[in-house]
Amino acid sequence: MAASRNRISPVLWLHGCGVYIFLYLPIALLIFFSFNKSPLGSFPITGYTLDWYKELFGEYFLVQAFRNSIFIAAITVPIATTIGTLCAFGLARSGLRITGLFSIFILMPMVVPGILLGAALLIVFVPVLGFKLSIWTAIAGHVVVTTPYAVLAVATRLYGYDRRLDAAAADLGARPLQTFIHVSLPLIMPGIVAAALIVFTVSLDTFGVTFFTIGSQSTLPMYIWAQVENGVTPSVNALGTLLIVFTIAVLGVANMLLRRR
Amino acid sequence: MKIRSTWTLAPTWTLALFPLATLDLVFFVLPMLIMAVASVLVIQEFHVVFEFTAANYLFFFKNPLYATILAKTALLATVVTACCLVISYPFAFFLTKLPKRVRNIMLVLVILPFWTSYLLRVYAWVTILGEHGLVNRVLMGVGAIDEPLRILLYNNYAVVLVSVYLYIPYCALVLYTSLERLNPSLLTAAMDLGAPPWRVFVHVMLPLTLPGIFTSFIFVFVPMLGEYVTPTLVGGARGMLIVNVVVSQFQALRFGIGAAMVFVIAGLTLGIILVLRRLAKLEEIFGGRQ
Repeated sequence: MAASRNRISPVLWLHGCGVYIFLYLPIALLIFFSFNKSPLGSFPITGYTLDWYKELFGEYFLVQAFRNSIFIAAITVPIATTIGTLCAFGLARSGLRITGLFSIFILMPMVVPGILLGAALLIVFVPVLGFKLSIWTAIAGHVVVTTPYAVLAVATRLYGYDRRLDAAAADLGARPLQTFIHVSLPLIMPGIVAAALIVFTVSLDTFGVTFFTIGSQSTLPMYIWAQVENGVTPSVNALGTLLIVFTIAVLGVANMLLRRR
Repeated sequence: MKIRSTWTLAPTWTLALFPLATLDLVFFVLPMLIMAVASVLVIQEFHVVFEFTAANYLFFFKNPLYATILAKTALLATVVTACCLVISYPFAFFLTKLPKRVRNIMLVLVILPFWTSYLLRVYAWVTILGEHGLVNRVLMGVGAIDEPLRILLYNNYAVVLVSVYLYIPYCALVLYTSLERLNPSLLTAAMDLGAPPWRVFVHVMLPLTLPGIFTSFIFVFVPMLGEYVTPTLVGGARGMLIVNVVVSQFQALRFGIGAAMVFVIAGLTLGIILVLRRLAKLEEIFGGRQ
């Protein structure tokens, strides 16, 4: 009986495989074309080359965009991770009754389209405050967008935390702050590192909020955007491949850190 | 979890919520409020003039082009949501049937594309459907066509196709959580009582997973209203959606009109969420089962 209930009909199998092919084919082709000799995605393939990768290093604007992206992420990561970690602890331990509502509120920046949040920030920064748009205004946007991810990552780790460990430390005479620094924090550290890695990759990929808040500067997604608007260029395939491989590697590490014990 | 003693530091931990609350108030809530105010103010060049006006909203509603694009956006969003549901429902069901160990790997594979750059996933379709893209190359290679087809890209169909591709992971995951909670013995019971498969589906499965269906609707339809990258890269002039219009207003420094348009979209979004909130049991998604 159980066996027959769990049997998957061939149609369902076919459909399932079809969905996976649909999800992965475009990404696979992007990677495949990055090694293709012909500049236009020709088919069948004429030969393999690493020229498009070599070309990336000579691109002045790309190097500039890469520097900006790293700079923005480097500032965003510590801020978002700290604020996010504090918030995750607050949600788990304050014992407040409104935490459910509060968590929906703090997840909002993840849901609102980045480009519209960017537009709202643009209005605040330019006509209202009279700021000049720069990397720093973009960083403000990146911190807002990435912090919810940090909260979720740390909260995932806190969810499996055994509070009896804190109680044991208290019983042994540790003061609350000592307990936090010597017991809670080391145990939650993998979650915090995972949060930092996730914030880094999200910041690296963020396009919407950057679009309106960075002014004349560029970032990696902004560079890709400019290239793609001008038509297909094979070096974008190479850049994209590097980004995808890098993102998946970093998130793989984050995922391992989040797995409980 | 209800232990409240001195070592838990409970009241102090409330303070830990303040940095993020402040950040969100200053850089999220306040900008949204200011945008709401800006939509009814006269903004000249870079200065705000404190004079109230409905002109920004009237400008939007009086221009039939904008109303048409808004209606088209809603229509495309509906089509995309419907396609996502039809593809994802059997797919999510397939996932629930897999053995536990395989299932976890397959679920990660559903989430993975969601983590790779969104911009690149849209761009990947340009390399497939474009004038020099894969489809044209293959068709010309086998001699089916002599000239590259230009109808593959820069139209509403391309926007729908790419959007469905982008939103299937969301939809599949929401439906998966819904279907996983479904007690399989209910389906067996219905079949044992002689119901043909379609009746089991219509009378047992569908009603029980309806909250999941409404939630997926929110997760696909709402972000579709805010899509900018997809319509720009694969939609072109013909596949333009409402946010393209908004962005062009901001780029022309017509902040007031842009803000008004954002609030028309936001109003629509809020309306949909409020209507569907009860049906969708959104709270379950955020894990708050009080």
